[in-house]
Amino acid sequence: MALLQIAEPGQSTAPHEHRLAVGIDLGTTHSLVATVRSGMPEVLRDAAGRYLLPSVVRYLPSGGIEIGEAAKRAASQDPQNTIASFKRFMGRGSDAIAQLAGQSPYVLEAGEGMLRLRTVAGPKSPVEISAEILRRLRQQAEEALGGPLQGAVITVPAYFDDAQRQATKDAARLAGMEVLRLLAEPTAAALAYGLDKKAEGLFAIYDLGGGTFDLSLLRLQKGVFEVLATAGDTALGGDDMDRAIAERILADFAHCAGDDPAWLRQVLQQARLLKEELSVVSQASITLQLPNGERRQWSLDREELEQWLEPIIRRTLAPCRRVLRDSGISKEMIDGIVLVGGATRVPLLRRMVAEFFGQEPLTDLDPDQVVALGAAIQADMLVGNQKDELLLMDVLPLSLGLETMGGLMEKIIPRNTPIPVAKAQEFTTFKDGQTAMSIHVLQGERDRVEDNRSLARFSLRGIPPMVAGAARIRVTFQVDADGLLSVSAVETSTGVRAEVQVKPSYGLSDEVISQMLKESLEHGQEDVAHRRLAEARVEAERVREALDAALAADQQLLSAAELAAIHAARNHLLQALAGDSADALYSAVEQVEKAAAVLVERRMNQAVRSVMAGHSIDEWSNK
Amino acid sequence: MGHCRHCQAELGEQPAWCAACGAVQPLDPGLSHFAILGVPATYPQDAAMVRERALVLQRVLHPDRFSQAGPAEQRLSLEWSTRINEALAILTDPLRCADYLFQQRFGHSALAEEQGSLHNPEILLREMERREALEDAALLQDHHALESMRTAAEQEEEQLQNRLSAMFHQGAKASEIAPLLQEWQYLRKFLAEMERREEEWDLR
Repeated sequence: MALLQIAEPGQSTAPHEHRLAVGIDLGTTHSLVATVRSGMPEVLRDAAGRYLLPSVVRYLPSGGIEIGEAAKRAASQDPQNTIASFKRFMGRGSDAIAQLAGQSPYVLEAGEGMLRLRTVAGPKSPVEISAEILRRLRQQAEEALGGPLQGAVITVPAYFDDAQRQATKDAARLAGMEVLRLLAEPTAAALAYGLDKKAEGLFAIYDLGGGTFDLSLLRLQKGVFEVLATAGDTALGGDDMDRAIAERILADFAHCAGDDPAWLRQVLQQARLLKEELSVVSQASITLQLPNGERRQWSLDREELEQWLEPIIRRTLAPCRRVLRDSGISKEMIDGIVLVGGATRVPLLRRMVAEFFGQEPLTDLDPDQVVALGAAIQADMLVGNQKDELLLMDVLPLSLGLETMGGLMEKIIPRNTPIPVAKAQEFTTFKDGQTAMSIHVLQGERDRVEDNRSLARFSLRGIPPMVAGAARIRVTFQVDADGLLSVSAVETSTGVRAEVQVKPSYGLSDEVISQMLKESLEHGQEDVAHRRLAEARVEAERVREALDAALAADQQLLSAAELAAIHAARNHLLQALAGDSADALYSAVEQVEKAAAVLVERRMNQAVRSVMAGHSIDEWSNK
Repeated sequence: MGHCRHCQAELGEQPAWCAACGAVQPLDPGLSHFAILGVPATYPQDAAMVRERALVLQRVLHPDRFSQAGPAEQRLSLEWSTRINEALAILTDPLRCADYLFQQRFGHSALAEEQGSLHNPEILLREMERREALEDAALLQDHHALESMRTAAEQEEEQLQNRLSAMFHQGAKASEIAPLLQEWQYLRKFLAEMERREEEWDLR
């Protein structure tokens, strides 16, 4: 863009451009988006002023969809097509169907790369469903911030494995979003607290989300946040508390209500309400509408509830012990305990956590917001809006290993190793003239292959034929700062690069994603138009500002006629800015550039002359 | 000492980036872990200082600092950051650090499989006894017995570190140093086994 290319001596071209970046907490029960404005992180609200978007997507027979509140309201009438808690299915393969089927009202089916949920609009992968939520949050953010996003930091549970992280990244790609970084949720929470308190020390982050639990130990020192250790359970969350209550209700009404999905859904919703209410008061009751239309009261007191919740909360303490042991840190050394997730409002939980760690947890920030706020801070740092602030150093959440003889896993990178990390392993051939071999990569802590997650099978081809045992194939496993794995291989005696073919055990192939992208574009013309308009607006604003600056500085270089032409084009641009046609905006921008070409040229000449007149080159080369 | 790939200025002590223009430099694969972190090649290392050096470098070189940079810069950042983490892991682990220094001096690791296992019958016997005691404690789920075993093992680690420190300092031969490293390796395996047992308890 010509106007912006004018560099005043000693000035940079785009002085303090603020890049739009957001942090997104893609949660099991709800999702939210936050950004940093004027140095402070804040959540972004929708037109109705709400910031918690229920992570619920409803597929309609017409082909349309409902997202968030609207979908959630319809949940009890249309349970099979209204997908909630889909984060539990992220990156899960068809082999997990049997295990997951009993826990959800949906019809699960096998699909390429990962399981699908059957809906009236056809089978949907958890990646596609997540993308709907992300797309909505992106729109919400772009409307609130008035321009297209440069990128987003999306949080994932610390305990997410490679397949689950990749699935999250794919969902963002489907939603047309640039992922700046996948950030572990507890790390994000610590960041929100760390910046707030400017503290140094050791923090334990106790994060009980809707469907996942993590405990992470972080150290803030010299402006670097290090994750020392993390452990958790991907199948344990606040939903389990709701389910424990729901089971009691269902048992009480078993004689007069069957397992009608709408009834189950109603009971689950009411169970959640009870849990929330009993966090505040000591006795509460709900009204249920039975499938036969009858209305019935059901009440519960806190004491009884706590008996049911105790075993669930107790299950969270095993990962706590593991983290302490892994890091060699004793409870007394911890400076603060941060609670994350709405379920941590349960008083019994606060008591048990306080008892375990021997100190009261910190609760200054809203446990629902804290992750998104931290992600927003990280996003702001990544796009370069803040310089030399904190740095986050994350760890590999689960060990990476290879399948060896006898169906055992040999660990090559242990869990809690700081990332990025790389490890090279040497392999050899066991047959004369062997030119290919296959490597099975696993993630997990168990000894037997079948107890761990299968990440991928790599076949190495193009190994130069040699006698058995002579080839030295060096395979390098690189985990990047997002915790995602890539593999490369080279035969070291000849230097021949072996070709690595990756066949992920889970996840969607690039072809499948492209296909989905195409489909979502077809369904989302409106979406594209919205984005195009937002981009055109930003471009038009930028041109207007540059023009005004140039006019203010060097108007005297123009004749009256030239100036009038520029002003006419400028007015045209202002009109286009008031409307909402991207095409009109782009054509107005073009006219301004044409009309202003003469100004650009004269300013350039003037700049060159002023350099000749004694300025050094250094002063005006823009760094 | 080379020149900056970007502005040709002469590079100083610190090999990762150019002091004049700030450009990240290509990583020389021959650099030792000590050189990467800029700490003296001695034993034992001051873990706190090593960590601090690593943090200072990561603050500049971590991929998060290059998320808006070009692919070449991002690649270099990933390589440096990975290498710093590797150096940090090795130099802050007293056993791995000792073996690394051993490698630097004698050209090979004392712990690689080809080096054969321990031949000292006295130590082998002690290892066997220790394993049996662990089996018993695990069977009885005796946390106190386990704790005292751990304390004893940790004291032994400390003694090994002191003996190794003296040997490195005196310029001892490979054949004198290697058995200590191998003994330590056994001790580590024992500690790992102990942790595995404890984890099993947790899962029950």
